[in-house]
Amino acid sequence: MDIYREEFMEIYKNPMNYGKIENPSLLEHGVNESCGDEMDLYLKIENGKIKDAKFEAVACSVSVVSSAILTEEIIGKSLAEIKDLDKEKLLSLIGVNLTTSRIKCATLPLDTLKKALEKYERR
Amino acid sequence: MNLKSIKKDFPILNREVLHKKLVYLDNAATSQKPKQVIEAMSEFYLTNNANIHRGLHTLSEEASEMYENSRENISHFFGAKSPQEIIFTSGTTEGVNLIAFGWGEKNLKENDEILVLLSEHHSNFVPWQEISKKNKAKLIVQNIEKDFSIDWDSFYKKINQNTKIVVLSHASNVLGNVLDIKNIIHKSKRQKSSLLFFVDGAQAAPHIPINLQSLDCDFYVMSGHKMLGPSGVGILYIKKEIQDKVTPTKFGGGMIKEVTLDETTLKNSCERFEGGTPNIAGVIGQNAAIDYLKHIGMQEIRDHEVKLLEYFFKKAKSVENLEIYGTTNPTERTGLVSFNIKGIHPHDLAAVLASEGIAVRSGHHCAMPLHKHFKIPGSVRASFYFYNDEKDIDSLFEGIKKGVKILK
Repeated sequence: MDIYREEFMEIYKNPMNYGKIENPSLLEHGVNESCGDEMDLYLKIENGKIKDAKFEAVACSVSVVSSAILTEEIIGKSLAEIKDLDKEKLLSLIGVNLTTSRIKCATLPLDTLKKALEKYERR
Repeated sequence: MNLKSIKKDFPILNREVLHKKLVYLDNAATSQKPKQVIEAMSEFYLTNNANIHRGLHTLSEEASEMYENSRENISHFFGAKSPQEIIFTSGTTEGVNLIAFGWGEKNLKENDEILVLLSEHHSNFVPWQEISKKNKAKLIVQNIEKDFSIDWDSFYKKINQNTKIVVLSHASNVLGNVLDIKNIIHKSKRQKSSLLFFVDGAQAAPHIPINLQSLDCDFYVMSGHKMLGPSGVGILYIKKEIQDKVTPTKFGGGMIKEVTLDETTLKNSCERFEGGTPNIAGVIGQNAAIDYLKHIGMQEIRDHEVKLLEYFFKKAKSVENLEIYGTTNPTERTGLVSFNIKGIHPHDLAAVLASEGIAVRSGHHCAMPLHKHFKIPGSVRASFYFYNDEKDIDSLFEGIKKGVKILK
């Protein structure tokens, strides 16, 4: 099966950016309503740029790998740049075929990020 | 029980998925349908189709007779006192809602209590939570112990003069434990004789012999699609003596005695709970499903599933880090097992199994309070039916082994 190929499982077993950020600019909790998986997304924002991003998750491999890839993608980017980041872009970054039921697993970190940024803008 | 000839009745069991032979172990979600059920429905549509209880033409009379004969056959099968105690709904969920609101709205007062188990499926929990909020009644939840048992002393102690109804699943859709409903009702009524009992039989009725009169509950709900029938048919049993206390929750054609501009009188029969055109073909299909179960025999089905459970638990002993939720005594549970491999997310294990052609369920199985209580994000559930065999369980354990290799 595509998602359980080696490179994918390697990220799952040692995900990039796993952990907490002390004094984050934003901390957002995300829940996948269809299965109950949960994650915390930590963001450090300086001068309109994502200086650092980390996450912790009680979630399946797809959510964990997606969170690792998403945080990797946004670190160093400006808030304006990551505005375009959508589902299609994220799925193409993950680069494996996901069945309909697993796409929700992959979009958990993206939904959490969008929620966090909306709050940031409203500040 | 001749498994070889039974399997021939279920063409879907022969199909391949992802170039592997299908191993269907998601029967607690829905069962597969034998040819006899599908043929009964298509035969109805091809030769008898008409609306029921409306026309006096031949087709309508045929359809009405087939529909009412189904009610009679089904009521006999489950040991109801009269066909009038059997109401067709769209599924278990509609049955629960009909009673929670149709009975609860007028009969639950402020501070009245509803006693439920923590392990209830959302559809037998949320409607009661909703009506208790609406009527300011109290939802009293009986905990599940760490070893998955129920502390019955503490359960009976919760019954008091304010308790109006006890809500229980005959078998839990996660833990699989089959409750001794008859005994529970008997003991509870010693504390309060006017207590009502609502039993969710969605996971029990397909797997064990049921006699509603002997159980002595007031309400019993089932899903047709979990016992060989089509989706969209539910069976709701309301004891005749209680029916007057239940107000229909949907109003429409087929349930009316008389309508004037100011007022409506409803039929006195159980049809008053079946407003609108019912799922006629579905009920006829369900009737064929009941005939099929009758032909095999519910006790035979139960015995076969107990054997499968014994085999499952024997094989489970050799798997490291396997956590099983619920009793491991096969005679105390129905043919489903929820489990996890420590350190592997249930979705991941289920996905590896799916890639091997093995269909299981993963997640919280619509029982979030229970999973939260045990602090697990979800579980993998393998659920059997009489058409499964030991080979299917062998495939499952092969798949688990493969999953552990990839995911650990």
